Order: sequence, then structure tokens, then C-alpha cells
Amino acid sequence: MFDKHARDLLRYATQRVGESHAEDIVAQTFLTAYEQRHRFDASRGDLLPWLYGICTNLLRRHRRDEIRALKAVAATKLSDVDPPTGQNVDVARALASLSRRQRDVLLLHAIAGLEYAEVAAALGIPLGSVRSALHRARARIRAAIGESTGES
Amino acid sequence: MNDLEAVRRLAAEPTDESVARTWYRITKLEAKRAPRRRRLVPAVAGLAVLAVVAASLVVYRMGQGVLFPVASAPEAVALLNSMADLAEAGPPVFATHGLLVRTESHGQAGVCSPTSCQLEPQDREQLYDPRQGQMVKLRDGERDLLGGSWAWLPPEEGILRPTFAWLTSLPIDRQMLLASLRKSVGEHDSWTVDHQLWDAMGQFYAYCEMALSPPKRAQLLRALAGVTGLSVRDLVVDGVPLVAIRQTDKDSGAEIIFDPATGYAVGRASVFLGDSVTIIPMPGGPQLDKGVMYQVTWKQTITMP
Repeated sequence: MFDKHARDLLRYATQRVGESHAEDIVAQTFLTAYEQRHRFDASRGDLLPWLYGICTNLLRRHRRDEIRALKAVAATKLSDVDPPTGQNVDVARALASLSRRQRDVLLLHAIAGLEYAEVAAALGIPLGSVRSALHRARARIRAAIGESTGES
Repeated sequence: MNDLEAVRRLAAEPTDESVARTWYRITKLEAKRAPRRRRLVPAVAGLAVLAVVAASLVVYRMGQGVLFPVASAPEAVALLNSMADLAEAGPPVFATHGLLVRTESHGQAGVCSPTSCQLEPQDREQLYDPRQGQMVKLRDGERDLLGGSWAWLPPEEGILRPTFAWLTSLPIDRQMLLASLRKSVGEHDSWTVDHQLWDAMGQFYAYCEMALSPPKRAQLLRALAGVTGLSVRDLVVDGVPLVAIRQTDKDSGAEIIFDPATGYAVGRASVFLGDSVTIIPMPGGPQLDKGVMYQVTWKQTITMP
């Protein structure tokens, strides 16, 4: 299980709270999953979204670290960086402005690559809530980067 | 670049060092949690797990993942060797191409909370293709489990995904065979290699024992007699006397249930010998032995697609 999923979870968690915190959180994710394996219901979906759900819950304890990291990027002076990096600054700024749920949904979809239903299962929220949160979050990101294409 | 791509650009690919450090942190965290009693939920396929302790046996650990091996009970070793003799004299298996192994199992499985385990009926039917190493069918009553994690098989052939080719590659010598099987399950982690091996063998038998030739069955049983920490529990299922050979690791153990009259594996069980979980019997169901939180027996046949 670790070999199969650790890298995916690390990519997601590292993006949110940085490498050091991410390693702790992913380690805790696997231990929690092992201890709570009786709660995993295979009929409700694959293992990976369930692991992302545990990971996201653990990340909530590090919300301040996440916001701090995003704001640190967002505080970078655009005049000091090249255009691609400048866009990262814009995106980080937009991410920092999202609600916790919007950020969870967006990053589970964009970074973790979960489908809407998998995001709903991971977070334990209705599918409609995923759609609306994702719609609002993506609108914020699009506005930040000045891009106007529809959802893909 | 669209918005999703812009977000993805913020995520760096984790390094191998980061992955390795994460694994290390798991072992560190687990060591901190070690005083907690482990609760086990049986797994018919897939996710590793297990269970019980023979009260007469103690497993000593010397640090994380290092096992000071405990000798198996002589009766367990003798039983495996006698069943190997029976297996060797068993009927030949003719159909090797295109066959499937059907395993129909019935029993009880615990649905557990941190403090209690409610035993519920579990009836499953599976079809396994030992040539391809693929699960063709896995059903729990009317529910199709194929595609769920219960049906997950590793990509590489081995004890957790047995194929004829893998079986043919195994050594014949009992000690070399045992070494090969141990290597196939990996290294000591939360559980000793022998505990993992015993659990994996239970799954292996559930997949495809009926497709094994008599010599191969015998070789495996003789090799397994070298596993540490084995003991024997007698049980009766539907009026048939059976034996469960248990591998013990700390307060948990894994059992493979054999029919001593034929030497075939006919089931699996997990037992928890701690006192932190209350096991609630299945209403109207047969009473299981103390601590048994999972027990199924199966009938296995060879069939064609």
C-alpha cells in the first residue's frame, strides 16, 4: 500500500504544507488507515480516495502552516520574478484566499486527480457541494491568472 | 495554461529521499504507538492483516522489526509433515490450461469499532485464474466486489499473486523453498515475516490450492513446517473435525484451517487474544472459539471458463 500510494499522497501534502510537514502527515495517514482499516468500505470506492480523505483531515491541523506558506509565496514581489513564477505567485495568492473546503476540493481534484465523486467520498460531503466549491475555487484561480476558459 | 494546470505547477514531484524519510517516520511513529494493543480485522483478500496469540507462546522483539524467533509447537510441525505425506499421495491434477479455481467460502467476519467486534455472516464466491494470476470473479452474495480493494492483486507474480509460472520457479528443497516464500512476502515490519507469510499462505490457498500438483502441495507443507511460532487449535465445522494451525505474533495470530484427513486447506481464521475488544457473537450463528473475530471455511473446485 505504501509503495503504491505514498508518492501520490506526498505530492498532494507537500504542495499544501511543505515537505517536512508532509512527510509526517503522510506517515500518520498510513498509520491511521491501518488502525481504521475496518472502516474502509470497498463498495464505496477505491482505497486511494479514502487515504486522501484521511490525509486531508490531518492537514486541517496544519491549516496555519498552509496559509503561511501560501502567503509567503504570495508576498513575493512580482517585479523580482520571471513571468512563469509570477503566475505561481498569483495562484498562491488565490489559493490562500479560498475557504478551507474550496481549497480541499480544488487540490484533491487538481493535484490528487480525484474525480468529483471521489472528492465527495474523500471529504464525506455531497457531490453537489463538491461541484459548487470547485466551481467557485476555479473561478478564483482563473481570475487570478487572467484566464477565461470554461471548466475542463 | 488553464487554471488546473496553474495549480498543478505549484506541486513539486516528491523526491525518493522524501519517500524514504516518510517510511522511516512511519516506523518511528509506530514505535511510539507500540504500547497500544493492535486490533485486527480479517481480510479475505488483499490488505494485510491478522491475528492471534497462542497463550503458550511468546514472541520477543529486539527493537523495531527484529524478531527473536520462537519455536513452533512440535504437534504443529508433525501435523504439517503428516499432511504433506497425505498431499503427496493425493490425486493428480490434469487440467492446467484454461482452468479456473472456484472457491466458495462461508463463515463469520467481524465488523469492528475500537472497542467491539460484531460478527456477521460472510459468504463469498471467487474465481481465480492461476495461469494469468487474475481474479476473474469475486462476489459477496449479490454484491460484486471485483474492482474493489478486496480484489486488489499486486502487479508482480508471487505469493500474493500466484501463477503457474511462479509456482514452477520455486525451489524444491524445503529450506530453500521456505527462504523463497519468506523473501516473497518482504521484510519484518509491523509484523514478522513469518506472520506475514502465514497470512499470505492462507490467501494463497484460498486462491488456487486445488490447482497444485500433489508434489507441489507436499513441498509447500513441508517448507511451512519450518515457520516459527506455530501452534494448533482443534475445531469442528458442520460436524467435520478440522485443525487450525496458528502463527502467533504478539497478541495476534493468523490461522490456516486444514482438513487433517486430506491435508487440504479449507479455511482461514483470525483471533485476537487481548481484552480491549469485545467480540459479539453473530445472532443465531454458530459460536466461535474465544477471541475468533474472523473464520471462514471454503470448498474449492476446478472449473473451466
